[in-house]
Amino acid sequence: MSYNEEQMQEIFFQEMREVFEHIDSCILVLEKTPGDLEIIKNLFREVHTLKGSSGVFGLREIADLTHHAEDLLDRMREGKLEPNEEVFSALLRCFDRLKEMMNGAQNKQNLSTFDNSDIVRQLCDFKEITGEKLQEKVAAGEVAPTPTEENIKPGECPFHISITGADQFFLTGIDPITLVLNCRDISSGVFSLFSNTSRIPSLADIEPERCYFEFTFNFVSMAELKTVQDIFEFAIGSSNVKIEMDGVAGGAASKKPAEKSTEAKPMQAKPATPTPAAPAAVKAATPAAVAPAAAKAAPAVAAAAAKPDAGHGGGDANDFVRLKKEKLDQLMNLVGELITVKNLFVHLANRLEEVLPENEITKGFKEGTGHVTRLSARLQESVMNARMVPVGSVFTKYTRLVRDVAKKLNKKINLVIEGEDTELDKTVSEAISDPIMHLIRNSIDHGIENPETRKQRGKPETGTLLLKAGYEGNNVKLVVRDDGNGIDLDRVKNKAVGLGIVTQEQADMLSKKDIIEFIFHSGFSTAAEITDVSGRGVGMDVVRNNIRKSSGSIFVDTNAGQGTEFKIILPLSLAVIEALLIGVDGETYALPQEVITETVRAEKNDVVNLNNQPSINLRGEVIPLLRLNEVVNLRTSILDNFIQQEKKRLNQNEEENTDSHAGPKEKDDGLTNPVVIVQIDGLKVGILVDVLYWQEQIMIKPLGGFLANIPVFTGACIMGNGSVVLVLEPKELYYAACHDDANTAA
Amino acid sequence: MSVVSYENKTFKFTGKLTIYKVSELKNKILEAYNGESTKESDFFLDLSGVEAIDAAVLQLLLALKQLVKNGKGNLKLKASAQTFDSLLDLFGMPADTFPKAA
Repeated sequence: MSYNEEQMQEIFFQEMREVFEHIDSCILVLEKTPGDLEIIKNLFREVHTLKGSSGVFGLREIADLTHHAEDLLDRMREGKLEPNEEVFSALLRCFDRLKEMMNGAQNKQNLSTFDNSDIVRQLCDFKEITGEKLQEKVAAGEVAPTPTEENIKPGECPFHISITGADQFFLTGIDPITLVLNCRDISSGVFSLFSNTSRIPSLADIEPERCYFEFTFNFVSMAELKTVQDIFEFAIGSSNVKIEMDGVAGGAASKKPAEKSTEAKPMQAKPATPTPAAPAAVKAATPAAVAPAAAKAAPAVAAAAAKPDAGHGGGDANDFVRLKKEKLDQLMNLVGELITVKNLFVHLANRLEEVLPENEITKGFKEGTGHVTRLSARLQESVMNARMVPVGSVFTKYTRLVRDVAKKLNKKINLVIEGEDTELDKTVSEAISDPIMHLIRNSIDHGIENPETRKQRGKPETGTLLLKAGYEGNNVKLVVRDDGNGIDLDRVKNKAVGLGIVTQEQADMLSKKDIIEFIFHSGFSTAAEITDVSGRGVGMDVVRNNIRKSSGSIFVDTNAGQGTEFKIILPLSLAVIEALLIGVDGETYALPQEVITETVRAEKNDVVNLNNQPSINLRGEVIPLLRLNEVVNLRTSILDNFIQQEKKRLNQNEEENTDSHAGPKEKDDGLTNPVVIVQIDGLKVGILVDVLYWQEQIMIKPLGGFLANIPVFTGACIMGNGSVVLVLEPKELYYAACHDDANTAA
Repeated sequence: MSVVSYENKTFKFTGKLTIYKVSELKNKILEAYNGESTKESDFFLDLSGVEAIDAAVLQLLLALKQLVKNGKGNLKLKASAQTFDSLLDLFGMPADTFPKAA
C-alpha cells in the first residue's frame, strides 16, 4: 500500500500534535528551571521540527510564525535573551496560536485569516542581553555554544559553526549558498542557520562585491570534523570561520564521532540532495529539492532527541509503529468474537461430555478446545497490552492547565505527578481525561488557598496538588489530592437542605460520607460565585457520570483545613471481562465478576427490614439487599419490546436454543435464594437473584437504540450457545433501585 | 533587456539576478527611488520574472528595504519567485522578511 497525500497529512498532523505536547511540557519545565540549557536545546529542536515540517506541507503561515519563536529561542540559547516569565508566556501564547492554526489547516481553513501581528511583535520586542553581561554568561557556561549535544543518534555529533568577517567571500569566489547547502548535505536532519544582516549598510553605501552577511550554523552530522573543515577550506582563508564539534574548537578537536560509539558509521553524502554546480545563484529547483529532504529527516531525529527517555532504555525509534486506534479497536473486536466462538467450543465440549461416552473424538475435541482457550487468552492479553498507554500521557497536559489556572487565580501551586508509567487502556485513558481536568480545576479554584491565606494558616505559600497513578489489584487507581481548604461539610449540608434535597432533621443524621455524596448532585455547588474556572455545579456530576461510563468509581475524602483527596478506581480494560451469569424471571444476565466479593444463600431468617430497606445479615454484618427481579422488571416490563428488538439486531443468526442454560451451578429450590454480594463505591450490597449459572469470559458489545440510554445495562454479549445476554451495571442498578424507592416513598 | 524596471512605485525584476548585476541594480534602484517625491508610502517588489538570485542580490534587496524604511515607507512583496522564497528559507529568514502586499 502506498501512502497518498491525505494519509501523509494525517500522519503529519498527528506528529505535530505530539510535537506541540512536548513543546508545552518543555516550556513548563523551563519555567521552573529557566537556566536549563538542555531543555532550551530540546525545545529549539522541537520548534525547528515544527517549522521545517510545516514548510514541507505548504503551511507557510505556520512556518513563518514558528520562525519567530525559533528566533527567540535561538537568542535565548545563545544567552542573548533572559528567560523569564514574560518570555515563557509569550512563547506559550505563540504555540497556542500555532495549535489553532494547525487545527485550522487540518480543517482546510485559510491560514491567512489568522492575524499574528501582535504575537510576532511580542516575540520580537524582548530586549537582548549584550556586552559584559553576555560575556559573563558565556564565561559561566550559561550560554550554549552548540545547540545539540545530547540525545543524538550513535555516531552523530553536533557542529556549531560561525562565520564572521566574510567581506571577501564574493571577491574570492566563495558563495555562502554553497557552504550552507554543503552543510545541509552532511547534516542528519537537525539543521539551523541564523543569518546576521545587521552589517548591511544603506543602499547608497553598499559595495556590490562585498559580503555583509554573517552566519551561525548549528547542525548534527555523522561526518568527521575533517569533512566539515573541508567544506570551509577556502572560506577559512578569507574570513573568520569558527568550527566547533561537540563543544570543542575545531582546530583542537580530537574526539571523533567514531570514538564515541562503536556503532558510528562513516559519513555518507546524501545522493538525493543536489549540490549547486557553481557558486552562483539559487536555481529555482535546488532549494526546493533540499528543503524537504532536510525537513523530512528532522522529525524523526527531533522526536527521538526531545523525549527525555530516548536512548535510555526506551528503545530505538525504529522499534515503534504508529497505528490508528481504529485498527486496534478492530483487532480487539475480532479477539472478542474469537472468545465468543471459544465459549461456543467450551459449551459444546461440555455438552458432548454429558451426552456421549468418552471416546477418541470427544477427548480430542476437548483437548483442542483447551488449546483454543489458552491461545485465545494469550491473544487477548497481547492485544489488550497493545492498547495500553502510560497514564502520564494524560497527566502531562495538566501541567499547563495548573499553570494557567493558578496564574489566573493568583495562586501558587506545585503540581506533583507520580506513577506516570502506570498503563491504562487507551479508551479508558481518553474517557477520564475530562473528569480529572474538572477535579484539578476544582482543587485549584475551591481547594488550594491563595498565598496570603495559606501563610496566615501556617501553611507553605505554595500549595501542592498531587496527581498520582498506580495499580490496585486488577484496577488502576488515580488520585487527585490537594492540601487546601478541604470541603466545608456544614456548608454542603446547609446547601442540601436549602435545595430541598434533604430536610434539616435528615441532614443532622447524615454521616460525613453521606454529606460528601451531595457534591455529586446535578447543579450542586457551594461556590460563592460562578467563575469561568469552576463553580457552576455541573462539574462533579459530570465527573462521576463519566467515570461510571468507564465502569469506574470515585471516592472522596476530605479534612477541614487539610485538603481533599479524590480517588478514582478504573478497570484496566473495558472490552473483555469475566462475568457471572445469573438468572432472574427466566432471563439471563451477566454481572461483572470484578465487583463480586462472594455468593451466599439467603435463608428467610437472614432477611430483615431495616428502615424499610430489605437487608441481609451476613456473618453479623447488615448488608442492603437488592431484589434484582424488581429492579430489572421495573425496566424490562416497559422496555421488553425494545430489548427483544435489540437482541435481534445484535444476533440476527441467533438460533433457538431451548437448552440454553443446562446445568446451572445452583438453582433456587424455592426455600432460599442465591445472593450475590457486590461492592459498589465501597458499599457492600446483596443482589437477590433466582439462579446462579456459571462464570464466563465475555466481550461487552455496546447497545444501540433506546437501550443505550438505560444505564443499568452496560451492554450485551453473545454466549457460546449463541444466545444474547444483557450485561448489568451494578452501580447503576443500585442507584436505580434507590431512586425508585425514593419515588415510591414520595 | 534591463534586469529591473520601475513603475508605479514597483520595482520589477527579471532574469538572473547575480553578483554581476548588483552594480547595475543598485544604480537603477537608487535612481528610481530618489526620483520619487513621496517617500512615505508603500513601495513594491515584483519578482515574478526572476529566474535565479544570489546572496549578493539578497543583501542589496535588504538594503533597499532599509532605505524605504528610513524614508518612513514600506517595501512590500507584490509577487515573489520560488527561487527567492527558497533563498530566504535557506538563510533562515522568515518569509515575511518582505511582507506581502495585500
